[in-house]
Amino acid sequence: MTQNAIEASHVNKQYSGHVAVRDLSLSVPTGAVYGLLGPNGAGKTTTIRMVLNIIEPDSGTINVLGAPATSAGISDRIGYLPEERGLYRKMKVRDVLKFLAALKGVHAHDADRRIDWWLDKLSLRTDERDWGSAKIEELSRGMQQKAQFIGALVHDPDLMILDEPFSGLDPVNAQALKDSVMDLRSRGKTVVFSTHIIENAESMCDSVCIIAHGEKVLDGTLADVKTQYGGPPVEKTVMVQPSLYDIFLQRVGATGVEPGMRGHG
Amino acid sequence: MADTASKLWAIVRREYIERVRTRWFMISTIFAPLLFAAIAFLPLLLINKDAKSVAPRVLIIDATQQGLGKYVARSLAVLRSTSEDATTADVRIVSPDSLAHAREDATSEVARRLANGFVVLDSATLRGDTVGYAGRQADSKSDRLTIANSVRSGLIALRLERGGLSAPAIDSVVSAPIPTIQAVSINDTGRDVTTPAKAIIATIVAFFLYMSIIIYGQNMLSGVIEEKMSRVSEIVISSVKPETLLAGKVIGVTAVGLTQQIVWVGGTVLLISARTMLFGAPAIAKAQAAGAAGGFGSNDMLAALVATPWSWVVLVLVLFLLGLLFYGALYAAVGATVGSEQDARQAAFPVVLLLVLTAVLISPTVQNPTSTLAVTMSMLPFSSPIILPIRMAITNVPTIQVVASLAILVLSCLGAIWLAGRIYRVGLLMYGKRPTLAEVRRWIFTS
Ligand SMILES: Nc1ncnc2c1ncn2[C@@H]1O[C@H](COP(=O)(O)OP(=O)(O)O)[C@@H](O)[C@H]1O
Ligand SMILES: [Mg+2]
Repeated sequence: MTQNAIEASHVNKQYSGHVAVRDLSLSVPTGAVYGLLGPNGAGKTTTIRMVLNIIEPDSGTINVLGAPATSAGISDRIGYLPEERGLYRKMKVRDVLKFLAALKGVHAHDADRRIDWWLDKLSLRTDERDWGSAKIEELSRGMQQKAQFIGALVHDPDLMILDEPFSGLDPVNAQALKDSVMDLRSRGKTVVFSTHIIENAESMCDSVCIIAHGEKVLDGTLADVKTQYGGPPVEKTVMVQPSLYDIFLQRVGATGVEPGMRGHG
Repeated sequence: MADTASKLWAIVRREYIERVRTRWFMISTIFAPLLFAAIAFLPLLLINKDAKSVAPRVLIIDATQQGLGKYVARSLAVLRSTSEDATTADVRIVSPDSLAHAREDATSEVARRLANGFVVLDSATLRGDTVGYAGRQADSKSDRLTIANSVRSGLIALRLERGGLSAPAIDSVVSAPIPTIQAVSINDTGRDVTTPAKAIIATIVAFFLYMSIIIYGQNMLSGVIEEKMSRVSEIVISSVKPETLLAGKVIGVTAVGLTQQIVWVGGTVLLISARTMLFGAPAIAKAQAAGAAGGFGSNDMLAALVATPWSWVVLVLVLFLLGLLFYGALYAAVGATVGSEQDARQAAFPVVLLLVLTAVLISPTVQNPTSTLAVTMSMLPFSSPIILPIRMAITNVPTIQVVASLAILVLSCLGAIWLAGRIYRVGLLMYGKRPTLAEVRRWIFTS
C-alpha cells in the first residue's frame, strides 16, 4: 500500500498560552513500526491524542488510515494504550475487556472468543487459574498491564498506538511486549509507539520521529536517519561482556510468562 | 447512527449493571417499600394490640345514682368500635359522698397505667351541663368528642328508660352503629379529593425523590472521579465522543434510579394489596371503623395510598427520571473538573445547595401548594421534579402549568447535558489542579 497510516501536516496545539506542539508534520508508513521519540514534555502524548481525536489541534490537518482523524468509524480500527494506565478496578477482567471491545464495535460473541485467545496467549488463563474472572484489583501490576494491552488490541486494529508502553514493565514483560509488536508488524499492522528510552526504539523501529519542545527535530526511516544525520559509519571493534540485561533475559527467560504468576506478583 | 447507538448502549449497560450489582442497591431497594407499608399498616398493628390488651381503658365513675354509667359504657364501646363482647369501660357506681375518694383511686390507677383515663358522671352530668374527664392525653380532641358523645347517648338512654322503653329497645338505640363517612370536599374547580393523609404521602414521596436524587448524584460524581482518576476515561474517549460517554453514564444512572423507584412503587402496591392476607379482614374492618370514628387518623394513610391515582404515579416517575438526568449531568460535569474526592465535595457544593433549597421548600409547599413560591418552584428545573408532585397530590394544578414545567425541565436537561459534555471534553484530560470558574467558562464556550 502506498498510503500512509498517519499523515499529519503543520499541526499546532497550545495549552493556555503555552505551546505543546508546534508546526508538526509527520508520515507513518503503513505496516511500519514507528517510534515517536523525545524527552519528557516534548509533546508526544499531545500528538498521539490529536491523532486519536481525543483532542483537536488548533490548526493543521491529520489523516488517519486514509480519512480525517475526526471522521466517524476510524477509531474502531485503532488500538490505544494510554501512557497513564488504568481499568475499572471493581470489574472482572473479562467484563472490562468485553466492554472495551464493545466500544470498538466488536460483537459480544466475537469478543468472548478473542478475549479467551489473548488470555491464553498472555498466560492470564492457565490450567490452575482463570484470571479472566478475577477483578482487576486482584491482579498484580504486571497482569494489569497485560489486561490493558489485551484491551488495546482485542478488536484486531490496523493501527496500534502505544504511549510509553515500556514504562513500568519489568524486562520479561518488556520483551513480551516487543515480541507482540513484532508479531503485529508481521501481520501487516502499523504500530506507533512513543518513548523517551531511545535504545528500545533502535531495536524495534523501521522509522522514527524525534521531537523536542513540541517541534520536530528529524524524521525518516531508521537507515535514512542514520546516513543523513549520523555522518559516515565508523568502524568500532569492541569486546564486551554480555550486558546485565542480556544475562537477566537469559536466566529468567523471555517467554512472556511472568514469574510468580500463581500468586499476586 | 447505529454505530454510536451500540457504543452508547455498551456504556449504559456497564453503568447500569455495575450499580445494580452492589449490595447497597439491593438493600435500599427492598427497604423502602417495607417502610412505606409499615407506615400504612401501623394502625392495623395498633388495633391488633389494643384488642389483646386486658386493662380496661376507661373507668367510668358513676355518682348519678340513676344508672347512667352502664349506658355511657355501652355507647363508648360502640363509638370506639371495639367488639361487642369486650366492653372496655369499667363502671364504678359510687355515692356522691365517696366521689372524691373514687377519683383519687382512679387517678392513681391511670398513673400506674392500669387505665387510660376516667370519666366522672355526677348530678351536673345528669342535667347535661358538665362531665369530668381525666386521663392521659386528656386534651385529645377526638377523645373528648368521643366521651361527650357517649355521655349524650347515655343521657338519651336514661330518658328513654324513664319514658318506659324496654331494655332491649334502649340497647338497640344506644348501640346504633356509626356509619363511615365518605367525604368529598369541593373546591373552586369542583370536586377535590384532598385529605391530610395525602399531604403526608406527598411529603414522604417528595423526601424519597430528594434522597434518591442526592444519592444517585453523589454516586455519579464518585463514578466520574473514579473513571477520571483511574484514567479509564482516556481509553473510552479514544473510542467514543466524550458527549457519548457522558450521555451513557447519565442514562445508566437514571435507569438504575428508575428501576429502584419502580420496585418501590410495585412493592408498596403489592404489600398493600396483600394486607388482608397479612392481617386478616377483621383487623382491617376494625381499623377502618376506628378511622371513621376519628380515633386513628393515620388509617386514612392506607386509604389515601390505595386511592393514589396511577396518573400521578406515572408523572412522578417521569419527573424523577428527568430530575435524575438533570442532576446527573450537573454532577458529572462537577466530577470532570475535579482531581480528587476531597475537591469534589467543595466543587459539588453549588449543586447540593440547589437540592437542599428544594428540600427546604417541601413543607411550605405542602402547607400552601398554590402560593407564588410553590408555583415558581414547580416551574424551575432544579426543583420541579420534587415540588410539582407535591402540588399535584394535594391541589389541582392547571394542566398548562404541568405542561410548562415538563417542557422547561426537558429543555433544561438537554442544556445540562450539552453543558456537561463541553466540560467533560476538556476536564477529563485535566489532572492536577482544579480549574477556576473562568477556565471552566472557557471550556464551555470555546471550541
Ligand atoms: N491538558 C493539559 N493542559 C495543559 N498543559 C498540558 C496538558 N497536557 C500536556 N500539557 C503540556 O504540554 C506539553 C507537552 O506535554 P506531553 O504531550 O504530555 O509531553 P510528552 O508526552 O512528550 O511527555 C508539556 O509541557 C505539558 O505540560
Ligand atoms: Mg507523554
